[in-house]
Parts: sequence; structure tokens; C-alpha cells
Amino acid sequence: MRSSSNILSHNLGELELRVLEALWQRPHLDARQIHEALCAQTPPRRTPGLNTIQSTLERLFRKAYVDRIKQGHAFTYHASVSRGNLLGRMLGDVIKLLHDGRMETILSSFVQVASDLDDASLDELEALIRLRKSQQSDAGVGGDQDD
Amino acid sequence: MINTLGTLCLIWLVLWLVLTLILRGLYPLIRSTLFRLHPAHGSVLLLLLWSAPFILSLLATSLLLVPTFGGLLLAPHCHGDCAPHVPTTSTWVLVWSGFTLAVVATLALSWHFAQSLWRGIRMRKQFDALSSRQAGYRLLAASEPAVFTLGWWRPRVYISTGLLGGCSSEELAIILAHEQAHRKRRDNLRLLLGRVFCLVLPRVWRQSVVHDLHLLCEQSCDFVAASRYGSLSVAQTLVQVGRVLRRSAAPLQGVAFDGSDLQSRVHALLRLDSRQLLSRWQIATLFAAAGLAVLLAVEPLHHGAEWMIDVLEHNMPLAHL
Repeated sequence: MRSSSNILSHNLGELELRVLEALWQRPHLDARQIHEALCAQTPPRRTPGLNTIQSTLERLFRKAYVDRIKQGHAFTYHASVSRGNLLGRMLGDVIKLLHDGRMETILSSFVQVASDLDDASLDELEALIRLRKSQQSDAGVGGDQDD
Repeated sequence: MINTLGTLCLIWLVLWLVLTLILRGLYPLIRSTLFRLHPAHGSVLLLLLWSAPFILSLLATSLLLVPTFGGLLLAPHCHGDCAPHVPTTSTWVLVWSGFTLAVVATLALSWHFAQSLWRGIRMRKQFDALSSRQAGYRLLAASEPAVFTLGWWRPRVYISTGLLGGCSSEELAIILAHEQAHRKRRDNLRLLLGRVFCLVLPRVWRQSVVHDLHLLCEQSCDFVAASRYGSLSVAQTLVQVGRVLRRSAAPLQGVAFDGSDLQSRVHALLRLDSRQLLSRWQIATLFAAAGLAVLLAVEPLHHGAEWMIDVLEHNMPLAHL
């Protein structure tokens, strides 16, 4: 069951996403190489330590976002979910939560999702807009900037 | 001291509940008026209206602490001695019930507010990490069509490549104008406040009020976009985005479009001229009426509280312990 603070099922922390981003850019890295990649991206004081990276990788492995292969004494990691796939699932969650009304007060969507408008209703609305446009043209109104 | 505090807490809670129920009873009558106003003012008034039971009850109860106001708000009267007084019970059950309930109510509202803030911040960080910065928005590289504004104080607009593929450059400009209006108005924060103030309502009533607030905010942003691109172009874009989202929603079980909202928004755009802004004197009159109502409520509230305390003290089995 989702906790109330983890509204998205694909709930990932900021560091977990940064580690995944590093693996999407260069797969099959070990913890030390990921640490170096993050150091190169951010100022040293904001880069987490190697132990933190290792525990983050362990969490991602348990959540099945990364796979690992043992090479010598160390593991190398690669993402088991693509960037587009993860984003698609997160957007799917947002759409479902908007539909349930659980996201209504967290984000504003240009057009929301629900259940009572079919193509015929959209056609009717479009016909209404066309009618209004032609009425304006007939009345000699120069463009709908003047509505 | 604790007796006075507990009694005032109890008065505040009862008054808050009563005002909320009265507002809920009158809301169907007020609602139609709100939807006849320009949505920019309608959305503000709706939020003020539903925050009024909480704020006005707190103000009126606080005024009880100033016992007589020189006889201006409260006529001098005596209960044995004629000293200025605040309605107070010495019955510990009432005192502690009032105090405990007020603390629980305040904590619950604060918790809900803080929790929602945290959820929003966490979600924004997630989408920030997976998006790239563009001029005026953040691009999400996903085939699912989506466009939304996320964040509380500095909201950001997110658009997916799936949506961009289905829209022309003019439609994109209209979508951005609409979303930037959400950003400037801080609508996410408004909606959260509206939800928090309505938490005392049963779930169905609360959803209906939050939905009304949401619809007015959307209409308000549609009107902002319409002032730049024309109402018919904005209406056409709404229908077009509706079609794009509807096509993609098909695989998601039970998900389609919020038809009623889309229809209401298109119809509102087609009748844009009929929605009038309130004049300054109308706004001033509304605030003056609310202020006057609080001041005039002090005397009946004082006597009503004393009468209620008297009734409860004489009828509660534990009152004399």
C-alpha cells in the first residue's frame, strides 16, 4: 500500500534519480565510477559519499530499477528500466490520480481526465466554435481577439 | 486561565462548525452568483467564502476576550457581581474537551497542509530530474501526452513530447499562456488552501467545493490566454488537446476526459463578455460587511455562550465533579 507521502507508485528520491541518470548515460558502472560521474556533474560539497552511493544502488536493486553483475570483487550496475519507460509510468500515475481527484490540489493540468466526454461531444463543441467564428466573420469582426 | 482558554476554544469550534453548516446550506444559492462573475474574482471570492467560517469564528471568539469594549460591542450586564467578564466555565469536562479538540483540529489542518506541501515538492523534484529545461517550460521526453503545472511558490510548467507532437505552434503558445497564468496566480497553493479550509466538510461536499474552485481557476487562466490569443482560439485548443489526451487515455482503464469541465470551459469562453469583474466599491462593501458582521456578533455570541454553558453545566452528569 502507498504511504500518504509517496503518492506516486514509482517513488524515487532525488539521489536515486541522479544515480539512474548516470546509468542511463553510461551503463555497467560500479559504485566508484558512479560516484566519480556525480562528482563531475555537481560541486564536491553537494556530492554524496561513496557509501551513500552504494546504499542507494542497493535500494534501487531491491526496487528492481537496476540489475547488477559481479565482476571480480565489485558489482557493476545497469538500469533495468529505461528513462522513457519510467517517465511514462509516472505520467500514467499522475493521470490516474487526477482522475481520482487525489492530485487536484497538487498540480494543475491543462485538460483533466474523467469519463463523460466522447468524440461526438468534442465534435459538437468544435461545431459550436466554428459557428461562433462564422457569426463573427459575418458581423465583420476582425479576428477573435475582439471577443 | 485554562478555564477561559478551554471555554474560548469550545466556543470557536462550535461557531466554526455552525458557520460552516450555514454556508453549506446557502452555498447552492451563492454558487450560481460566483459562476456569473469573472472567474478571476469568482475564484478569489470562493476561497475567501470557504475560509470565512474558520477566520471569522476565530476573530469573533478572540473579541470575546475584550470583555465590554466600553459598552460599544457588549452592553454592560451583571452575573452576581458586575465586573467585566469573559464567558467561562469551570467544568473540567467542557474545558478540557474544548482545549483538546481545538489542538487536535489545528494539528490536523496543519498536518494535512504540510503533508500536501511535501508531496508536491517531492513530485516536482522527481519530474525536474527527468525533464529538460526549455523556454518557458520543462520538456518531458515521453510519448504519453501530458501538460501540467507543478509546485507551490515557484510553479513550473511540464509538457511531454507526446503532447507537443499533437499540437501546432499556436496551440502550444496558448497552452503555455494558460499554464503561465496558473504559475503567476499560484493556483496550486490556492487549491490546497481551499481544500484545507473545507476539511471539516464531509468528503462529497468537500470534493464539490474543491472542484468548483478548480474549475474557476481553470476558467480564469483560460481568460488570461484568451486576452492574448482570442477566446475562440483558446476554446479550439481545449478541444484539440482534449482529442489528443482522449486518444492516449484509451489504453488506461476507466480513464477518459473530464467532459463536464471541458464543456463548461468552452462555453465560458464563448460567453466571455458576460462575466464581469467586481468593482472596487463592491469589493470594499463585501469586506466591510464581513467586518461589521464580526463586530455585531460579539454581543449575541457572548450571551449565547453564557446560556449554552449554563445549560451544559446543569445537564451534564460529570459537571459537578
